[in-house]
Amino acid sequence: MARTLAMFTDVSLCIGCRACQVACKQWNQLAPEEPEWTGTYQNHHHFTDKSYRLVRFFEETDDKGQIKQWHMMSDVCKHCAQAGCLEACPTGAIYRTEYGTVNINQDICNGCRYCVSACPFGVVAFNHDTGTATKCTFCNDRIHNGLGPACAKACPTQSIKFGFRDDLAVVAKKRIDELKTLGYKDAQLYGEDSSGDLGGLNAFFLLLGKPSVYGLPEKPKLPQRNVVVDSLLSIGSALVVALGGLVAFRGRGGQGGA
Amino acid sequence: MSLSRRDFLRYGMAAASSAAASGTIDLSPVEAAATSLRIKEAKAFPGVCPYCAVGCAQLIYVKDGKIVDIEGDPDAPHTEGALCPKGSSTYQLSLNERRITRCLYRAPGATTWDEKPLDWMMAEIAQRVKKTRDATFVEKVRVGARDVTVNRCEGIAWLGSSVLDNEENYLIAKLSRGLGLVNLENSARLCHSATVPALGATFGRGAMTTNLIDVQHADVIMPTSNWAECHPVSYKWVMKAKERGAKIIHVDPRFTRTSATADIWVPIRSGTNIVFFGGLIRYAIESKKYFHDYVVAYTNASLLLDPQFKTPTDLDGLFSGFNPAIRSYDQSTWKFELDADGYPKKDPTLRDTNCVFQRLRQHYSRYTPEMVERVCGIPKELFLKVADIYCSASGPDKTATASYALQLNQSTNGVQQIRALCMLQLILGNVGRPGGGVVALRGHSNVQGATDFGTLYHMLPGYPAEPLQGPHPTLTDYLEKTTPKGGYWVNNPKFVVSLLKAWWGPAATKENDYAYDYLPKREKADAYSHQHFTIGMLQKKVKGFICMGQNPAVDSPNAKMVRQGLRNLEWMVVVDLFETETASAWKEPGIDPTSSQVEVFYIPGAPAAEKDGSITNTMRMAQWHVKAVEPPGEARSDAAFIVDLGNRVKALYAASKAKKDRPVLDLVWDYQPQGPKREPTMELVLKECNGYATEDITDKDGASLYKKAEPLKTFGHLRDDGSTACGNWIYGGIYPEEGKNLALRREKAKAGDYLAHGWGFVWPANRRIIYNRASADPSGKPWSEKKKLIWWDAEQKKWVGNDVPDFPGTMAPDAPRAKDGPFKGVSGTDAFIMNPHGLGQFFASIVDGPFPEHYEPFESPTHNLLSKVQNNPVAKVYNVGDLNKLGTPDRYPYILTTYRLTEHHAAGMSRHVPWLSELFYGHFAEIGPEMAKELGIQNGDMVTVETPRAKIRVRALVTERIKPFMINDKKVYQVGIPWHWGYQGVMKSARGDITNDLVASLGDPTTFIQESKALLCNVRKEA
Amino acid sequence: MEPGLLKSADWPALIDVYFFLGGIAGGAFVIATIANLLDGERYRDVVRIGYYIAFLAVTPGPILLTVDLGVPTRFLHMLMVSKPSLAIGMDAVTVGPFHLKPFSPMNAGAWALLGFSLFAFLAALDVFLEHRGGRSMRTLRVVVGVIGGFFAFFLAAYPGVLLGATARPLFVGAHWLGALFLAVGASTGGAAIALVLSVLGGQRGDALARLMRFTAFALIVQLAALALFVLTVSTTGSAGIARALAQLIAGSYGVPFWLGAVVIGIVVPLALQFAGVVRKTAPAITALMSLLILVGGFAVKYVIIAAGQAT
Ligand SMILES: Nc1nc2c(c(=O)[nH]1)N[C@H]1C(S)=C(S)[C@@H](COP(=O)(O)OP(=O)(O)OC[C@H]3O[C@@H](n4cnc5c(=O)[nH]c(N)nc54)[C@H](O)[C@@H]3O)O[C@H]1N2
Ligand SMILES: Nc1nc2c(c(=O)[nH]1)N[C@H]1C(S)=C(S)[C@@H](COP(=O)(O)OP(=O)(O)OC[C@H]3O[C@@H](n4cnc5c(=O)[nH]c(N)nc54)[C@H](O)[C@@H]3O)O[C@H]1N2
Ligand code: SF4
Ligand code: SF4
Ligand code: SF4
Ligand code: SF4
Ligand code: SF4
Ligand SMILES: [Mo]
Repeated sequence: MARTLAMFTDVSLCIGCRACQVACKQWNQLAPEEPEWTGTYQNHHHFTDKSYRLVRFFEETDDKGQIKQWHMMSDVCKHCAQAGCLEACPTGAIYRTEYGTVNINQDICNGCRYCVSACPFGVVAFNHDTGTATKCTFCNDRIHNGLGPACAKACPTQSIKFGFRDDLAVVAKKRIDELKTLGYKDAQLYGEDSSGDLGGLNAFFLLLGKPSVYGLPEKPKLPQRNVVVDSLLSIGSALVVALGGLVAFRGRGGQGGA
Repeated sequence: MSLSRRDFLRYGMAAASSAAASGTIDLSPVEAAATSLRIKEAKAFPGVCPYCAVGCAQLIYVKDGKIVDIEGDPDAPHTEGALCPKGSSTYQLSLNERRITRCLYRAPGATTWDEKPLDWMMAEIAQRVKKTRDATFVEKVRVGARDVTVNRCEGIAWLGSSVLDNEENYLIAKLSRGLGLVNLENSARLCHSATVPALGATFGRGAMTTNLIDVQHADVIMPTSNWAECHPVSYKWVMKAKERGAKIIHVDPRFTRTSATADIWVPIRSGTNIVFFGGLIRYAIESKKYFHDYVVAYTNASLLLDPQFKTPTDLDGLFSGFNPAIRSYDQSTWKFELDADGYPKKDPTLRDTNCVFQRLRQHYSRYTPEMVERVCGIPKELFLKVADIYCSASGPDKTATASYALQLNQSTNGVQQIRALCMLQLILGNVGRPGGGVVALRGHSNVQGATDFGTLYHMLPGYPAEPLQGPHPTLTDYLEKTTPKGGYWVNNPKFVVSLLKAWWGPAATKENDYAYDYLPKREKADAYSHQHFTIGMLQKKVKGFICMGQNPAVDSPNAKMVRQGLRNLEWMVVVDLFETETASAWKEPGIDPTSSQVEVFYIPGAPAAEKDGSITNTMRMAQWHVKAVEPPGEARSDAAFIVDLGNRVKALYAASKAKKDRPVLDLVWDYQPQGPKREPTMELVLKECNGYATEDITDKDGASLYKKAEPLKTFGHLRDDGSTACGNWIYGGIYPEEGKNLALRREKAKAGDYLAHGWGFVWPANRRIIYNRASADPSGKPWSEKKKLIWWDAEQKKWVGNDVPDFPGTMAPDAPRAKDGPFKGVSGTDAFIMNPHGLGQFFASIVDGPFPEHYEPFESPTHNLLSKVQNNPVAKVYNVGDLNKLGTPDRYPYILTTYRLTEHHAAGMSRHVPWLSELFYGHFAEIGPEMAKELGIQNGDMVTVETPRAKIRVRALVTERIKPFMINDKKVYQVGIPWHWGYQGVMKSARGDITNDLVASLGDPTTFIQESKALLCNVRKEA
Repeated sequence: MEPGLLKSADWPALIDVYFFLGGIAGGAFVIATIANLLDGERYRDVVRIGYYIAFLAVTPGPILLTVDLGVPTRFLHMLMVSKPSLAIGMDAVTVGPFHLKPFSPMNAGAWALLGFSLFAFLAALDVFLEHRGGRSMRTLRVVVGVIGGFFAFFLAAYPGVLLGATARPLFVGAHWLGALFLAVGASTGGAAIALVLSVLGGQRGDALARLMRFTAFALIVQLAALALFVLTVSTTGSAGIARALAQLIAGSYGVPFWLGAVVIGIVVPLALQFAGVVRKTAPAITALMSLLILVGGFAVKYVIIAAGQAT
């Protein structure tokens, strides 16, 4: 496996311009869609099968109701080191590339939509035209030809950085230190740490506040971690039921059962 | 230009990953099934983003004659490969189902378009032009005691365009002036027209003083425009400065995406900028934070004024010389006291009560922090905090930079609002120095170039004035009145004569004053601007209209009235990419098409990707783009249309013996059209703009300098004897040798040359930061090591450093004032060589006063707290009766401002582009929660916004980002409405009411730019 | 309500039908197997009907899935693809074109469906042949029953585990869905057999009563699992999860949940059972009770899936 590639999105540099969103559409030739009213500048509530990057807007007010900050966050598939979508996928259509990115093989995907529910970040979307699941490919075609992702390239402020994960982690930590000294006391990295349930995100973020400010789960879980416990409990209940059955159907008379 | 593997490596990686960026890490495909890259075998053409004035360089990838991808050029030093959403969607400007690719004709009264062949269309258009020209032409008029040849045609208006290339604008200027047109404009009028006189009067040139890349060196940055949203890619330099620790102060009534990046947001009531800047100037003076040595050496602060000159502090709001009867100033007291040599007297101590500095101080003495609070609505503590931060970034080793765009321009005080900012920068010593300057953020991709190339009613290419019949009946009068006694403009005659030679060639002879008569003469200054002639259409004085790359039906103030004007025309030609509201004004929803008799010719044009030409971005940088693909169908470049039209009109006049037709017939018009679509050779146009020898030229010793027809190396070689021709002197040097097009240069920044002199061509003379003499102290040493740019090298006896000196290269710092020659009047410390005294000008004569004074917008929620003069006493109020009623706060209690969004572009360039149209739900108004609550408006409700001119329906976006102001102790709400929408558009979200229907017909007195940033309105929740 | 980060997979009702039938099939199969193991002769009708139902209920499974996916080959992708990628998940096993992903309940479920279908077919064939006068191969039937029984449990339970392994707020903290679905499978499997038996009539001895007793027992397990599900979810804490749960038990799904899943599906049948009415007035009451259980079983699955997707 090659060195892991990553994208590091630093919201402290984001100007919410949505260049990333459009550059992605251009490169991936994704069709336009009528927007939804979201009450903010954001055009869709969620990622769609035609929007792999989605810039989210959040207004934060202080206790006096005055605008404190207008957070903009360019959201994208996290290419989780332990990916819910990938683990869920029954067909093996979702696979990990040698760069550590998570991609959906459109020829294999059978459209079961399990990944849609299994992504802790609501990333995967179902394309009703092709009947397959789609999401950010980490510009699979570009990275396999030595080009960086289209979104990172377009980003005017280099809010989206692309490179090898270990390099970016260094950059990110340095940036956090800088921001802390500049007085951004809530600045924090999201997903850089690989000790979490998802083993770290290969698209990680620098946030200026708690993840919840950005609508992100504080501690995202890998859904498949439930499988073992759930299965054991299922087996347990299977045993109980089977036992119940044995009791109910055993013996001569009217005894047994409940 | 095919891409090598190395290129690929270079193209993607962020600087973050240095190892990767250097290409040392192998990213070769490990997986056999690695996906193929669709641009791998494509050819890459150099392109330039056609949207805004940042001028992001693009690479256009073409395969099998089709564009397959457009992305940023990673080598570009000013953009580093980035593109904003608009640039990223450029692909859809070319590949778009809504592109019109056939010629469309609308007969008078018809209800539909008809397709017609291009040839038929061109023939008809040429005939209309001739017919209307002949019908409305004025050859001579009597002015006083003499007959003046004015050669002017008032019946036709032509809108060139700040989205067209330099060469195209040049051709428009040339052909239209050749036809005698005086109604000539481009969107720069509505956009940045006030910039030119404001910056020009202060610094000498009407253009941004600095370079975007240099912004990273600022210690404090104060965007007073919505920089992040309107010039997104250039904002990278602000963010770079911020990453370094620079403070960002954003001044805007609304909390925008720029505010979101700022350390401090300064909410300001729209239209009160002079009070804010005046307050800062006062603070700088009173707290002694101004850069004293700089001010003394490089500005006219020390010059003594005529004691008769009075300021509004003396005269309660007026300068001396006001004549209420004609609402204008007699400027005879606005002058310096002169010494025996005819130069202004000076007090280097700045103590003389009559020196400019003391008069300035007295003038701004009323602009106290309390006044700022009461007028602008900026709390005093906030103002003082900002004043301290901003003014502290001054002196030898600190600089601050400030941006502005429309919030200062679009006002009845437009020129003065900008002047005030320029003066602030001047007094802090921030001009001509790294990390300083005035970042005049221009509008459309080529608003700078369209201005430079003179598709504006008042000027000719390169900024000489378009003559007036009164003061300029002959060339001699003209040159005498428009050429100053000192400063580089003393070379004006060379520029003008060379321009006449470029236009009329052999017909321009010494004997006939180089065909000066051929130039149309304006009747008066107060005429022919965009607003003037759109009203002329309404009044049927203007009968024919050529509209290229602009959409006045949506972009003009009082747009509903303007659309009626369009319907009143006899004929109209529209050259565009899409069916604009202008082209379809006759079938506007709700209008009976048969009621309009306008005959419309729609000619499909071609965007930048489909033609050759240059575009000049906001930092004066011309970049050439190469035609990547053929335009579809019958579409062709605008240049092809103009050249074709010129040839056809010439042919129609060929038999004419009339004198009035000589300007057309003698116009030099051979651009060697090529190929099936008869596309002119654009390098020829560029060469003509650059300048060439019209005959063999030798120096005084007889050595050959130039052969006939050879391009000139620099505008320094222009002559006033007819031996040189030059279409636009400021672009001299862009094409220094046959075949060498410096605008096409794409060399990335080299180490030690952060200003990247090898990329494109920056006028003048490839200087990236103008007035850079001021980066050194009077003795020629850098003010500080940290802020050095150029300096005097005593050994080499020349100016050296990191930029092309904006100064005579070998003039020593102690050189006395030059008595003669091209730098007449300039001495070794005159950093502002374009100005008559070589100094930055606090005091400068502008029609509404030598110092900026605050007047309220014509629609204002308050009386003027600074004086009894409510509005700019000399501003233009167009008289169109009921169509231009003004609102008062009792009926229209809310302040209204209009603006842009990152994702949309101007009057419609984004609404036909699906990838942009989908980014907003639709037209909306931003309203603060308090006001919304009072009116019972919920986020998402439909509301009606009303002014005395019109009503529009929009959706309310209720947001904490909009706050009320305390103005003169009273709470006033402000409403913000983006103005991008119209009735054409690719999807539902792209269509909506036209904001400009709300705007009044008012103008700044110097440039007639409209007041579209500060209005009054009423808002109602829709039942 | 503010739209959260996650969006719905928009699974159609077909999936609910499949999960429901799968549960019945699994439940019926296991009951038949147990009955057969204990006394094949005495419970012959239960065994026969059970295996028939198992086979009939599972057969639409692949069809339903295929209809949902659109193209038949797509269902096959659950099990095999011509060019599998290497890195497709934790402990994934690839053998030639086949892959098994133990942590993907959907994948495992597909295998279970395949396996179960085979055994359900064999079992049904066996009882069919026997019924047609053929000789029953007792040992074979036991082997088929026991191995198939494991698949049957799997088939009944895996949809619950599958849901539990999603990020939907309602499920992400839940652990009892597999158990619940299994119990529902058992109760609805039992109810389905009982329904058929009571409609056909003529069953021998106390088989039906014992079946109903078993079914009631399964209902109790079902109730317990449901309660534990709600309990664990409610203690997980996060706001999104609390919102999701509120939707299920108090919001727009409250009525079908309480009325359908709890009252009709569990409380009323149990009450009938314990009141002893069943024995006296069978078979009409038995049929009614079975119907209620079936309705409730469907309701509980439906409402949980729907609420899970919607929140
Ligand atoms: N995305 C995008 N970019 C563009 C364009 C576009 O259409 N879309 N158009 C291009 C063109 S043509 C131009 S000219 C430029 C314009 O660039 P800008 O001038 O930056 O753009 P606007 O949005 O018109 O106005 C900017 C801001 O002025 C604020 N404002 C209103 N009144 C005042 C005031 O009195 N003082 C201050 N300080 N602020 C005030 C408004 O709230 C608004 O946020 O942008 C160019 N770039
Ligand atoms: N209320 C309000 N009104 C304003 C402003 C404001 O801030 N507030 N701002 C003003 C300003 S700054 C400006 S610049 C104007 C802008 O207003 P416009 O200049 O009218 O804006 P656009 O819609 O961009 O018009 C450009 C047109 O050129 C077409 N086009 C693009 N490329 C080419 C080409 O190569 N050839 C040809 N022939 N056509 C081409 C596009 O399709 C588009 O229709 O609006 C002004 N109006
Ligand atoms: S963010 Fe979601 S879609 Fe992306 S890899 Fe992680 S689980 Fe998969
Ligand atoms: S929809 Fe496609 S990618 Fe998603 S889980 Fe199903 S097969 Fe895998
Ligand atoms: S990496 Fe590529 S696919 Fe993913 S969001 Fe960025 S541009 Fe889109
Ligand atoms: S392109 Fe960069 S700055 Fe713009 S929205 Fe995306 S991440 Fe933010
Ligand atoms: S619109 Fe302006 S900032 Fe955006 S890509 Fe084009 S030139 Fe650059
Ligand atoms: Mo503009």
